[in-house]
Amino acid sequence: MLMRKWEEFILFFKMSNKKGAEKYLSIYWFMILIIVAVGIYGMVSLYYNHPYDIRELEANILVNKVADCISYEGELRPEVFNESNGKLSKEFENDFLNTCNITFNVEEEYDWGKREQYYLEVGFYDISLVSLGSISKGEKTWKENCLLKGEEEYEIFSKCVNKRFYSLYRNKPLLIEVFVGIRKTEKNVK
Amino acid sequence: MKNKKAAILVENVIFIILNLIFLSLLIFFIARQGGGVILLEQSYAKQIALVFDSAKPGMTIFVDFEKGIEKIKSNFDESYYKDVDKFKSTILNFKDNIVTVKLKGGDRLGYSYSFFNDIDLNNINYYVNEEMGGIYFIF
Repeated sequence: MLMRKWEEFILFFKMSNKKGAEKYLSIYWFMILIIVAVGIYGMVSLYYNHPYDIRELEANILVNKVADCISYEGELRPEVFNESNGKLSKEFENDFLNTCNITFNVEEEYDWGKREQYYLEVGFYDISLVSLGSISKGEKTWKENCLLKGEEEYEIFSKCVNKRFYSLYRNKPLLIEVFVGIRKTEKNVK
Repeated sequence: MKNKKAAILVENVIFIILNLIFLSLLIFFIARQGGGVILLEQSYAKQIALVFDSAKPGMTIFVDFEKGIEKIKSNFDESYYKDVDKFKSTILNFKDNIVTVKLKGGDRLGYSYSFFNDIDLNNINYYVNEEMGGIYFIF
């Protein structure tokens, strides 16, 4: 059936009655235009209906903010560790968000208020990678989400950024690892 | 003979005009989709939230708001972008650590996005510079 139609179409080309062939061609031409229009409409709608995903940018800025807060000009802030016992200061840990001017308040949409949308973890290690303590704030599930997805990119999960840097404390180098996970899925992914 | 040639010419002209109409409709549709109020509100709210996240005291940051100003001009009266208080309460509103952008009137709430930088909003000044087509934020 299809072959016969095609042969008919070819025959129109060869026909001496050129006007008929032109009419046949213009119908095909407008059919192609309609297909192109529907395709472009679909693609454009699909593209613009997706929200901008800025979670990775946010996470990077948060990591930098934390790094600026705990270390200044390559030296760790003196209040991070207890002078007396050399351990992570409990006061600094408890008041970490206030000290660094960070807030995890979010808009009251999609029940975001019920569960924090951020997770922040700062780990301190000596030069031989022995842990000296860590600070964690927010909802830990978002870290597990990121660890779960591994190399695969699942946008519906949280976006995470993990960065390390060195800083001096009493002239000894310390490794500091900052991990940030942000959910906010509803406003960044469709 | 002459009539036949004229008929062919008219057919071709109509065909070309129809194609041009089709193409201009497509371009109009794409341009409209890209510059829609909902998309612009989202884009500006997220952009401003990122600016606030990375801002430090003493900084002055300029945010391009040209398309936003165009929308405000067509959707609100002139006073909304010339009167700072009206602009702050309606178009670009900050509450706690949430920025809301509203480029169209009516009952719509606009688009809101939160930023994590816990800065004192009373210490921040911002104003629209119509000539530059943007907003200056002074932290």
